[in-house]
Amino acid sequence: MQRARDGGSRFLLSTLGIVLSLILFSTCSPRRATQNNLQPNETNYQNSGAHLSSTEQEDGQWPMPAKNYSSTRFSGLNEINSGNAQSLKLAWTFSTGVLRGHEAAPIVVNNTMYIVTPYPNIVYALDLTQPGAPLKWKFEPNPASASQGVACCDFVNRGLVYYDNRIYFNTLDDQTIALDAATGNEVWRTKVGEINLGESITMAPLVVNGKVLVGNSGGEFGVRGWLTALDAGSGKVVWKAYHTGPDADVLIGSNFKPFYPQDQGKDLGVASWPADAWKIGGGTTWGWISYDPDQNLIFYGTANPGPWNPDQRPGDNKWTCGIFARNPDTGEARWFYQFTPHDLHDYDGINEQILLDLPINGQTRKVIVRPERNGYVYVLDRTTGQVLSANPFAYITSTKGVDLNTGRLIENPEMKPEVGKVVRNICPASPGAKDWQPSAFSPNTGLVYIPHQNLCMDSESLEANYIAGTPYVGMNARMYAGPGGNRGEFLAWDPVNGKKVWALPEKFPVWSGALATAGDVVFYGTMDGWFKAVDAHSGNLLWQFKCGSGIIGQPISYKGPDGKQYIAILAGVGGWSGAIVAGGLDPRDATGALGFNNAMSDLPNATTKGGMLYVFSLP
Amino acid sequence: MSSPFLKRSRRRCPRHYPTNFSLSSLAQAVLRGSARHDWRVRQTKVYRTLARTPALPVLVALAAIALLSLSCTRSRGSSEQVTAPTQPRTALRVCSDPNNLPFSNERGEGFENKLAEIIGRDMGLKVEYTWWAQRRGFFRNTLKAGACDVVMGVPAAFEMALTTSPYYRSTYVFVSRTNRHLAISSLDDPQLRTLRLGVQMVGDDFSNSPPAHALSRRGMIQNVKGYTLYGDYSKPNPPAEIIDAVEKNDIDVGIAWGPMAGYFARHARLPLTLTPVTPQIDQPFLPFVFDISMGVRREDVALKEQLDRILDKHRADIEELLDDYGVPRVGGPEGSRMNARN
Repeated sequence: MQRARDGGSRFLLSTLGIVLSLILFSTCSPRRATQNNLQPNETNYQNSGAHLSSTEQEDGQWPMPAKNYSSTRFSGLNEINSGNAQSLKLAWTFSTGVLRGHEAAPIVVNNTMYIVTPYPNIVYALDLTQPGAPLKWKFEPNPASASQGVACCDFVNRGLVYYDNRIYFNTLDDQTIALDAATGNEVWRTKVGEINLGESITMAPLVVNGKVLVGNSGGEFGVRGWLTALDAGSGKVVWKAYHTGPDADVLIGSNFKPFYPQDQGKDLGVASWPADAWKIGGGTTWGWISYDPDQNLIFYGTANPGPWNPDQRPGDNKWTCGIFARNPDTGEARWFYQFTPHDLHDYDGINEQILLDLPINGQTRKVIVRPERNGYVYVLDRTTGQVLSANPFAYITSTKGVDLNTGRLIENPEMKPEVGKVVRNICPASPGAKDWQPSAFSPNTGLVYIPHQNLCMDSESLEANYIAGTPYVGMNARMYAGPGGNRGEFLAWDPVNGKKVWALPEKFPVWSGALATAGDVVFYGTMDGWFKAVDAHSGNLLWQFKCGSGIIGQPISYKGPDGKQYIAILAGVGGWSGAIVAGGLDPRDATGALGFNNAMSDLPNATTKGGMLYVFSLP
Repeated sequence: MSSPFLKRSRRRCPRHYPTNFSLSSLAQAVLRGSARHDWRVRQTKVYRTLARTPALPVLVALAAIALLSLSCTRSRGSSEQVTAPTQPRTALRVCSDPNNLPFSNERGEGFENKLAEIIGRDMGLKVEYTWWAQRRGFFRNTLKAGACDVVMGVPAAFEMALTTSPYYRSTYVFVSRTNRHLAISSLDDPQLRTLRLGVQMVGDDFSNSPPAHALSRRGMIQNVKGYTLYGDYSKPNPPAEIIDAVEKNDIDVGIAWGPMAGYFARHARLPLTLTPVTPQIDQPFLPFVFDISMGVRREDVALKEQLDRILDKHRADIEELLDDYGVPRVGGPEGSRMNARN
């Protein structure tokens, strides 16, 4: 399996090799792939300048939103490069017929493209072997319309996954569904949550070792977060791990070895809460999961403790706003690290984890690189959960750094919400320095490409409020651009040295994912509809195309049956940041979309809603 | 503004904004746990003296004091914004929800509509409405946008408006079918754990109705059904759904804001029993009792003072009106909500 090397200054990315091999296998005969002990075809990449020499490993497909288990979102295809990207042309388009925010990544396997829409979660299969990619099949799961009422922030879906000749995806009303990839026929569907309890599902599943991994959303409604594994063949629940409560519920046992003392002890998921508050403690899972086949561990984050006000839940509120390492076969927890103990500002810890082998202080370490909502890029040892570095990639006032001895985030007490106190200039705002929108990593440059936002907020705790003749107390927030006045930024980050290499300011939050390619071209989209290609080394704009609606989707790259490299992106503005357009909110309501409206009041002038797939190639 | 004005306003704060202290005095009275509190809920079908309230921790007092200072500071702050008198009024321009009884509707059937008539008559003005569903954005789109000048009901400690002296104090209530004889008055009643409960949900981060917070803190979730305050606006009076659910036996107990519950209980097909929620301030700081005032724009100090005088003058009429609509009220320890001005 993947082994650490004494690479010295050499930059290693063995995981990518494993993953590419795994994908190759999984496409042809996935059962063998999961059963056999894969011998990774390790490839060395130099830290700078070296081009990927292994396009033969790149099968030209894109079977899961993160492209591979390491979540690099890196395509080994290099037909499109920084020298010719300016010639990119629209190849074909497809309208999804849905108007809400499109956050999903298109999936490409066996010359078929699969896309899933926001609610009502329609799945389309498009035949890439035919001119214009006509519809092969369409599947409508018909989720309950009431589920729209429990989605906090637009009715998004972050993608489907291909595995073993099947398509797996989740619906907003808490169903996980398996389809036959060739026909679109339903194989099974399992109800995993309850909309009447406020649960919904927006995340993309990940399939590991024949288990479909799914988590819930709905922290605002007082749900208790969990991750569950369904048998890919039958849809039966294999295990379910909660993120609050007794160790038995959290699947914490004798093999649980967290690195820091504050995460060690019995039943911390109960003890770090007021009595019974953990029962509706949030800690949902609506973001990303990565998998390290070497250790046979999955890694994923937990969301904020909700719907409580912070004062109502003294304690660290475990296991919210942190990251778990678990055995995917049993769900058993191996380690946990809490990015934001006792979250004060809605800093859900659900972002992506990129699995890399990096030279740290002269040693090659198996790490997780994670640009976190609280504004720091964490580099964690993925075998232990130790924090190796945590450097700010955004403007931060809410905290003062991470103590590398204790692993604890250092709070800024001035930014703590208090009864009757208006706290101004909390940076980052509730969506964090970076929300769900996934980064990409290029082994060619050694850089992580991070789409993110630059927002601060004022929060008014426990204000007497009033709706429909009914008084209550609640906290209001108003968001606005941080220093510089740009609300978004696309930046290149050196994870070894913990430094920003270049950054491109954007008017609106960059709410799309990133794509890195072997041609040293990096792609992302803006909320006012520009799809951009930039030079991976310099950030120089190479090409851009104005889509019909703002972009919050995840770009991908694939090799068509004609041998050409294609780039695909779903446009269709929405999401939390774009709810002002997708949901038709009143721009004059500063606290609309939980305060996001205040920062987005000009978005309706910049774009309109509408889901459309765009596919580009060289002429 | 000039310092004399500031001084004046500072001096006047405790005298002319007595009810900004309401929660404070309430909390202090609760802390004393004295026999003085004969706070009652006046409602046609219910007239019960509250049981002795257990003493609450010092936290409540501290929180109340924090609220007090906030209120007083805010009143001063708004006094500083006094501007030159505007054009003479030609109408009493009211911002109101067209579909939310017992408060208001576009046929003028709500008690806030009737109250507007009382105020308008006193001022010699006709009442004009700007109709807007009262949900997020209501104040920005109506009062603050200048489309109208007064909102008939807002919490006394509401930040988005300058508020008059409160004209009533009400409470969240338990609502159940009378024939169940549940006699629940406390959030700590063990019966609640096995009954089917209903609460109203606000649905934003950090915001929920007080009973939603209080029940969930006590671990009651699986037996609690949430009803969105927004409801289905295509139906009449959408927040009333929770009372309908009690009637239809979908839930055993609903916990809802008193004025709404009192009105719909009165119009129910079955006898319903209402009891005020205790504790009145749940830990750590979750009030179930609110003072309700009228709200004007922050700079409309003259209008606010005029409304204060009119509210005081018509106190008896207003009490009668609230009685007519079944609005449960909670009195303060001093025995009156409105004559504590001196």
